[in-house]
Amino acid sequence: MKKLRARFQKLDRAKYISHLDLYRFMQRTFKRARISVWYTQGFNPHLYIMFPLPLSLGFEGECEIMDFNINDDNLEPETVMEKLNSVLPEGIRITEIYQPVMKHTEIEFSHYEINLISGNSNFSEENFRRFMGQEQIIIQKKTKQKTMKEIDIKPFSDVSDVYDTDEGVHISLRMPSGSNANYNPSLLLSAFYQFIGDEPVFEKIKRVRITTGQGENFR
Amino acid sequence: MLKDKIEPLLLKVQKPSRYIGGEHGSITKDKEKTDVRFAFCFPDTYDIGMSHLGMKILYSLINSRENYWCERVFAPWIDFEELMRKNDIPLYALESLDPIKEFDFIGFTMQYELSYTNMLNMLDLAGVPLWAKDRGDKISPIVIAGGPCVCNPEPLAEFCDIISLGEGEEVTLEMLDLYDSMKKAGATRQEFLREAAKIEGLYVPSLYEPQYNEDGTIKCYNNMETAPAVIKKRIIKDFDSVFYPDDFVVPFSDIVHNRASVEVLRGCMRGCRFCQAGFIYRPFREKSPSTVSCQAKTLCENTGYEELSLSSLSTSDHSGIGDILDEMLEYTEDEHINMTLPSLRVDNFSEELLEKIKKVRKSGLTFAPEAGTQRLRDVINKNVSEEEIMETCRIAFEGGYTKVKLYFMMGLPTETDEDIIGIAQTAQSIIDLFYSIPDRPKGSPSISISVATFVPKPFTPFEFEPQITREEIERRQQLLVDSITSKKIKVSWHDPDISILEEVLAKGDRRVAKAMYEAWKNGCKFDSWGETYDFSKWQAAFDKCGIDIGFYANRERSFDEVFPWDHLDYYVSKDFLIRENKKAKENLTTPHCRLKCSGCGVNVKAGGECFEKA
Repeated sequence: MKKLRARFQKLDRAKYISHLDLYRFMQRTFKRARISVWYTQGFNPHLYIMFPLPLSLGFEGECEIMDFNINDDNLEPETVMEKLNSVLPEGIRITEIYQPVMKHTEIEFSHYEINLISGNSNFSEENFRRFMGQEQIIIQKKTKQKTMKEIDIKPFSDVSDVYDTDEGVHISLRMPSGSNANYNPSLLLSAFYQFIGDEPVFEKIKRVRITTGQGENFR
Repeated sequence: MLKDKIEPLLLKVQKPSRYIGGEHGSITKDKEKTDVRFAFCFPDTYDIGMSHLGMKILYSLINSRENYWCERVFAPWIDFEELMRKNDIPLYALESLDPIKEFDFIGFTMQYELSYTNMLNMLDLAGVPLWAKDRGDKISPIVIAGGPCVCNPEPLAEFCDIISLGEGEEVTLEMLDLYDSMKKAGATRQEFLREAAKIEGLYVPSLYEPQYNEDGTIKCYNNMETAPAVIKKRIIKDFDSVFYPDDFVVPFSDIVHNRASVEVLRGCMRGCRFCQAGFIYRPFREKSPSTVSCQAKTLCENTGYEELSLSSLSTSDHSGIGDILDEMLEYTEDEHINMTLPSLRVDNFSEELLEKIKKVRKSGLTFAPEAGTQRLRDVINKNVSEEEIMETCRIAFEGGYTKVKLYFMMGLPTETDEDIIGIAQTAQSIIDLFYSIPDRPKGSPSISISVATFVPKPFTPFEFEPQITREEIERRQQLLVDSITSKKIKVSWHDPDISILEEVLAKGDRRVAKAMYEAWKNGCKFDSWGETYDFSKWQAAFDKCGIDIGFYANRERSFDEVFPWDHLDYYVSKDFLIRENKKAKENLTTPHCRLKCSGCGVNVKAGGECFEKA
């Protein structure tokens, strides 16, 4: 048995595959590719696939992570990648397969590229900077106990770039992700919509990097 | 591009992946290089339609021709339909995301009567005139319907340009070839339809005119021009070598039946008198065990499915079922694939068979005794005895099962109160049986009884029979509830109004179409969904059009009455149906076709014997 980690893209039509459906989807992909993957042992064996960091429905991803084990130790990661890519539908593409370097708990941040598309001028760099310039940005967040809690999301929102586009505004955003703290960019965006009193026609959100506390790419 | 209009709406609706396509197995082609585009519509949601085998077969078949392109279309659920209408998005196909109005064919598969209003709603969403007569001279789009419901297509007839009778594997390509050549030659819609009417299995409703008697019954149908007086359904003679897909579209989201599926046999040899499928799909034909296992393995490999179904009306009637299971079980166990066998029969459910199925999956067992007493089971020719039911349950309980689900019908011809009480008694006997078994499983048994109101259907020996009235349905339901004394028995049933509508649409003629149109205008759609069904809207439509429900649903028909479906030939002779009806009234059973040929007429017309020495 060999432990492997795949980095894959989830783009275009594939962004509507829910996290729950992704497991079954990958299970079938392994079968189609005829790669013998490891099943959990026990009364009800099931295929072991692990996604350390779920992606929200409707988000695109450039660097999604999937861990799995193959039964054949001699199979090269490149071969596994080729076989999988030959049977994956449009939108999902594996970009690298390797033996895991880091532990899941080392994941600290997700980086997003966000395009808010609208027919009006509310969605502008100026308005977004004004929004981020507030002393505090208070939002309601669900706690692990399923109750709602008020928190200031501003310290967790690291905006590295904002600029106007033809159809709205582009934002580059880093937020905490992983087992220690998890903030969905929608929390910040909803607060922005409230702030300007308007909603965009379409929000395009893409996760482009997953990094550790030291700022390294998660591997 | 429609895609840019669709995408911003998707995250506002439930299960968005069903509206955007892109699944494994979906086929895209260059539209500039295709000659005929076919929109295959299932008049219900993606989750239901994608579970349907017939659609998968015809989808692959049409796409096997390089210059033809078949795409899938489903009814959008009400949340997305509302957004589509608000944003001027016409009904589109999932592969190209192009509006289906531009297609050459818009084909519907009609699997149940309660999806009829969805067909109208989909045509409207597509921007296609609902009535065939309003579609002008332009050859496209041709609206065509097929599937089991169109054995009486009359309520749908005036909405369709063509109705396809019987099995589609051969006739579909013949029709597309004719269309392709005529379109290139610049033919009009009417010219094409006149030629299409000459193809066996194609019924062009506009070339037939019904005449009515004073009492409202049908006098005759006048056929015009090229149209034959009687239209014969199509059947596949060599079922073993008929086209079968080697890949399926695999949905991203979970749907009702999300699995690889191989059709192991077609038709049914049992002759249960209430069952329309048992007659309209005759003759009984099997695939050889080697074909089944070869197709099953190919499908599992290409789709990656972890579940395989061996499908048919009655899979355990396959003469080589033992061989098939032996071979398939070895394969599925190695590959971590669950195998399911729908439609098992009580009477040949052996210990050995259960042993084989048990290896794969343990859940509840479902049986369909259909009636509560032996007398009534004889009337409907459900040749299953009380002992067989008990024996099967005993095997199941000893095998570790505790849950049994039983299907019954209510309102069967000749039914008395004794038969209703018999349903409760059958369930009670199964409970008693459970506790009498020394090595029964732990826990207590649970029996659920599902009772459907009987809907007499065309092309069955009970096509002459009335449906019982709403008051009578309700009385008998109450009687059943009062007869059940154990909390371990749970009863459920359909809304009687749904069964009544089903009967009117199943036996309706062309005059019902108007009411259907009105009902749709009143907002009726998704009539098979509890949350959207509203009988009062249908009632208003019937009232407005002067349609008497009783005339269609609750009227006993004489043997010499001309029915709206009598100009269609489904190979089963009316004489045979009358003979079977008379036998039913005398509580006499008819043996299944493998034991003795009952002379239904199919073998004569299909050419050859169904079984050797039968």
